[in-house]
Amino acid sequence: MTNFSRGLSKNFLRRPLILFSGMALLILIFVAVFAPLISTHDPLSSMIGIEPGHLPGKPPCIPILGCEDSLHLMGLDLNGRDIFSRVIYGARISLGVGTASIVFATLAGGFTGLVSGYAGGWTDNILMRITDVILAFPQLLLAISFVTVFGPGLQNVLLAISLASFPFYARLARATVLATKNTEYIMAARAIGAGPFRIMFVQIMPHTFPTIIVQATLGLGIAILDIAALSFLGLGIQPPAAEWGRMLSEGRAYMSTSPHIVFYPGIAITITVLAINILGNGLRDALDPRLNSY
Amino acid sequence: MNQFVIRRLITTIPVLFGILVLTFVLLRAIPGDPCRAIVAERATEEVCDQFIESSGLNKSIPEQFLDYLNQVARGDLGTSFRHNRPVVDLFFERLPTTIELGIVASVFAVVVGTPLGIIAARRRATLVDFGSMSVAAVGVSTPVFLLGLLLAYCFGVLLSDTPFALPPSGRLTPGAFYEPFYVAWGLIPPKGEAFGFLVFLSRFHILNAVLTVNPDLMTDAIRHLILPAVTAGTIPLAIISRIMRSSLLDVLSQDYILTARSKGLSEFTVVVGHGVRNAMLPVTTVIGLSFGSLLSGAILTETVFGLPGVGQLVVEGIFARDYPVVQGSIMLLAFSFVFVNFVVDVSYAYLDPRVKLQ
Repeated sequence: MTNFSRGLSKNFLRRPLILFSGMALLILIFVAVFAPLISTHDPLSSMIGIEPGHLPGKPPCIPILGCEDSLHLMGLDLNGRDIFSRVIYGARISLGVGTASIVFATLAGGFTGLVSGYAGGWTDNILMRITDVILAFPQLLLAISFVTVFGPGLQNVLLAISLASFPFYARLARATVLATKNTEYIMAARAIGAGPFRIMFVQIMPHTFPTIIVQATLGLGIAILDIAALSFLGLGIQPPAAEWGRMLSEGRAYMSTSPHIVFYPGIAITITVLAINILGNGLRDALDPRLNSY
Repeated sequence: MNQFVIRRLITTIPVLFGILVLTFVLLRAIPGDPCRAIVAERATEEVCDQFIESSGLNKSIPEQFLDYLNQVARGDLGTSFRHNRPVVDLFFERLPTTIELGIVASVFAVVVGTPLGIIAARRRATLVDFGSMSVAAVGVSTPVFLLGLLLAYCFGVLLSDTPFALPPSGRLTPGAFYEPFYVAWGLIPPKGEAFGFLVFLSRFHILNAVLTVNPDLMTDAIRHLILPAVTAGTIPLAIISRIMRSSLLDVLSQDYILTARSKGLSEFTVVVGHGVRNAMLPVTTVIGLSFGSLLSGAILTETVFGLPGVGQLVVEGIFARDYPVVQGSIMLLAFSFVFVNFVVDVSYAYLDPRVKLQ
């Protein structure tokens, strides 16, 4: 059994909170994938004029509390759209864009770190100074700058978040390369004639996976918060798409009369990020041998 | 120590240069015709010719960059299209509000986060530990703007008729009597328009209220800052309490704690005098580094609470396509972030001499 899998089984899988978070995340992924089957209405269609008696901003109707109409579990938003269906579809955007941006960031960061650490010298110096500059900006500020220049929208948000977070992965990958590139088995690989690409991608790269996976899990939570923040500021995913941050921003002005418009997407973001963070912290603890001494 | 400071100072030079390159590229990377993107609906042929001439866009890129460096070195970050005033003036007018928010939020995060971490560590694996760490976990997972909206709703709407009511927006109550301290002291005539250090200081409303001995204004200024500070300070609070907990657990398992206990010292002296003192080292770094999340938090917090700070200036600038304001503010914010990180590193090296050896 490797250290990684031993750590996982000892520290990770035996903790109920982590298992619970993992299950919550699985449910969220399921919801995102099967959104058309779970949602009760079209997330973009207004009910005004279609269903008589449904007014914009109508509060939720919960049958267990004595409400007879169970059509709109979380009520309607100010455009008369079903909030439940919008929250369900919102999981697609948050998890989808969040995951895609982290995948891009890990690929770009991992590659940069591998090349930087392995090549050393000037290549290393230049690449690391570039990451230093990007790290000099708070992540959200950099994403805002990018979206300001290239315009809002799904694709640019994805690129903005990837750009703002790739230096973290570059640093991690580089650190692993520096720790492994002078070990005996790498020298042995070089001695039997393995080229630099083979050494980098076949011999060294697998060693970067554990730390990068942990960072990526924690980074996913931050990415989802940043996507919601950009959309909240009006710089992210554009209407009428069902995006949680955007939904919050739209309901903001009517908080005193229709708080449910803000409440449900807000809870959805918090639960998603909380589940991801607990899982990420659990993974990190599982890989940290010091934890065993406590 | 001096050698360390100099070495650390040298490493910030390429970073500062990189920030300049990035902010320079920012304005030039706008897709399409820069004149149409920046001047927007006012972009006639004549206006565009004038714009390209005045902003130097007809020159080569290296020449433009040298001009830009020259400008920045002279403290000229351009003129806002919307306000028709220098960006530097606008930035420093708004900065005091953001600094006040940052300081109050940091105080809140440290004063609540540190004891929370200590209690969690002392009562490890009990309900108290689980409860306080759950608060921390929810704290880092809640979007800043959601927390702001919920707090504004609770204290501004639900509790509006109770003594717990707090203002949900603005920096001061509209119509509140505000007199800069230098005017109250008779230093500069009230109509003096020159922007100086005194004017900058007078925009720190809490400080200004203290200097003019105006308790009503001070209460008003503090009350307006409570909800934004709690909102912006929650993520740093959560991080501080978690680091404090793990750091204290680490320290309490050391031999010198065992020695302190065997000497018969009281539990309080052992934990606070020997434990917390040493456990504070990583916490001080985190306090400094949480400046970044405070800064991002400030952009969102100021938007939610309508606070006239730097964050709001950036967001307003983006929507008004006021690119010089966005470019200048982002550059100054990044510079201040680098400066704070530098101070954190140096103070850490001062507190922990082992750092210098690395």
